[in-house]
Amino acid sequence: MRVVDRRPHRMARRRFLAGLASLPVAWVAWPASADADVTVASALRRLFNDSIDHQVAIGSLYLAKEPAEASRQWLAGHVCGASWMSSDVPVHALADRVRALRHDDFCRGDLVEIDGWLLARSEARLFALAALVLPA
Amino acid sequence: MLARFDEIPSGTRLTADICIVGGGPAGIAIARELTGTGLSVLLVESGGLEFDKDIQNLYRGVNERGDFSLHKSRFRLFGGTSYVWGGWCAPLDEQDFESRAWVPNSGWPIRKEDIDPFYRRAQPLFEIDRYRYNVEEWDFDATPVFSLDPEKLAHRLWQLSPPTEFGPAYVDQLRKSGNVRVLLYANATEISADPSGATISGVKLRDLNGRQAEVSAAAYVLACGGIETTRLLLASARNAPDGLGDTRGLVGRYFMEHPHPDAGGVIFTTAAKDFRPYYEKEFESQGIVVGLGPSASAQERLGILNCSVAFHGPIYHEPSAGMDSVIKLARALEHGQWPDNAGAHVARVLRDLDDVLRESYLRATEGAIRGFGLIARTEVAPNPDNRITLTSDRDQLDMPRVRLDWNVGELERVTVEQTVNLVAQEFGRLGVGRVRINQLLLEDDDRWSRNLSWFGHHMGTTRMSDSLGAGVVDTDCKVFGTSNLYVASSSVFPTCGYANPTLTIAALAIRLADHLKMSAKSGLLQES
Repeated sequence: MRVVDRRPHRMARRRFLAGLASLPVAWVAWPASADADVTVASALRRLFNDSIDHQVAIGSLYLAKEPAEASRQWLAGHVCGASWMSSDVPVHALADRVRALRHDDFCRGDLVEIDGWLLARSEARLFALAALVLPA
Repeated sequence: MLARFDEIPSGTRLTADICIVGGGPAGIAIARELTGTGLSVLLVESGGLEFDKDIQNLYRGVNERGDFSLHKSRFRLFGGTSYVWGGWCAPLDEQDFESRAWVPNSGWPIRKEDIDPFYRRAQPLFEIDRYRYNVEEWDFDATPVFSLDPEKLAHRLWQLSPPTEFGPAYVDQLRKSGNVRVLLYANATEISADPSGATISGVKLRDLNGRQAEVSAAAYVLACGGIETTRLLLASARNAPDGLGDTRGLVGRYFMEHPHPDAGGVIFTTAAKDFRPYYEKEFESQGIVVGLGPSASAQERLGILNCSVAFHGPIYHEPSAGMDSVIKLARALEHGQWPDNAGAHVARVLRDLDDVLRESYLRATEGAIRGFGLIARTEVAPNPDNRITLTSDRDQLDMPRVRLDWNVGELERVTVEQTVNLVAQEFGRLGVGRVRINQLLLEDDDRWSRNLSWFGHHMGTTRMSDSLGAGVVDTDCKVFGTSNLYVASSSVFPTCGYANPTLTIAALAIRLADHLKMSAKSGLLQES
């Protein structure tokens, strides 16, 4: 298991913005597998267009703030929904789901503060999932 | 007519129908309204037409918080503090006048609609065109303002005065007036009253050379600003330690000032042009500022005060340690100096060379605006413990100096925090940007309040009320327990909203001028 560096650190606007870059739309097979980390990891990597450092940094800060949520399964279920274990999950569907969750969070006022940035909780959880499953 | 105090013999007793003490925006607004009425008006002003350091020093006092100086946050010359101001004009909101259960001591005894006509009459004083403080009344060059959730945020809009300096702007009009006399360098040092304190009989005047005079009038208007009006009332209480009239010890209490904390910043996730109404400062050839604040329903739901945030300081790029050192080195070299720690700076530049090169390029090419800082201006809750009192120290005129003892509380911090949070919610929902909050606002201690900006909005120390014992002046701005003493100042504000106070000061002054004219017509002034 990868050890996540959860030391709090300040995040520059540039890194932060890169982390919030719009979610790309792509199609990827998301096969059911015993090695779920690999499939989630590959989906996230495609979702983030292979630029993961900033998302992982934000996610690590979120996990430092919410250690009780540091569960890949729980985060994947929350962010990706019930279908995350099923096969052939399109990444664009995941992107749409995250956008909808994020929009709902902003409407409900469910924000989380990360290094001063006020983020939708769902986008912070997506990045937290990335911090847990993507290799450094 | 315009005269200097040293042009009249010492010991003179001047007479007038109405004596106005103070030649700032409030005093000048009243004097203008009374021009041509047939009433004899005498406006006495401590200063002259130009700034004078010795006179300004009469304003020295003690601010226990120590974050602004009492003699640097207001000005003692004809025109008053309009000598130095930013020109931001906005009326108070409707809810600012209401009694709010979650804001102790809130509520005016008048409503916004009572003052609305006077706002409109005050507007030309500030050399601003049409009275329009709703974003819907403006064309932002076809860029729509954001469609905000009314349960969360509302727009704020300030119209910008040039800014008008009331002294130079209106001195000629008053000089030519047949019934208004302006007496410069005349310092009011005491208000005299009959033994009961109910009827004011005169105002004592002095100058820095020991000359004295007294004014006798049918009515007196104190228009000396939010601190000096109170000082004069307290200093005049020979037989009444709590102040003239029946003010029940309230004179000097409920001091308010607008804290301006650095609230954080916003980074655009959409094109910068979508934000034009919020960062450009001129539309339709008029200076304006558009901001945001919690809607009335959000204030009630969240139990917070009124507040505003506005953009300031565009963000083009990310500051870096290396670039900071480059700037420090460049500034030192510009002044022909070699900094002591030059080696450390050079090392920082080399360590951070990629940032230095990137930022140098962006500065040279003036890259696109990526965001803005956010500055807040919040209402403060009226608190009787925030107070002006007199000290044993005396100024050159033998007047006791003032001590300001006050603080900003938790409700103000939460108000700014919640306001920034609402902005983050709405910018996120609309998909236009992300907000970063000043993290000091998240700490439940007073560190956030130790680094605030202040702009001389002194309010509340002679608050208006409809009942004796709850305020210092009544709804006509007449001091309770007196028959002929009035206050025209932000000191009468029971609450302060987020709006800069000068437009409201002028509106209330014009309202008071109408009252005085009506009183004169009905013979009430002569009976005083």
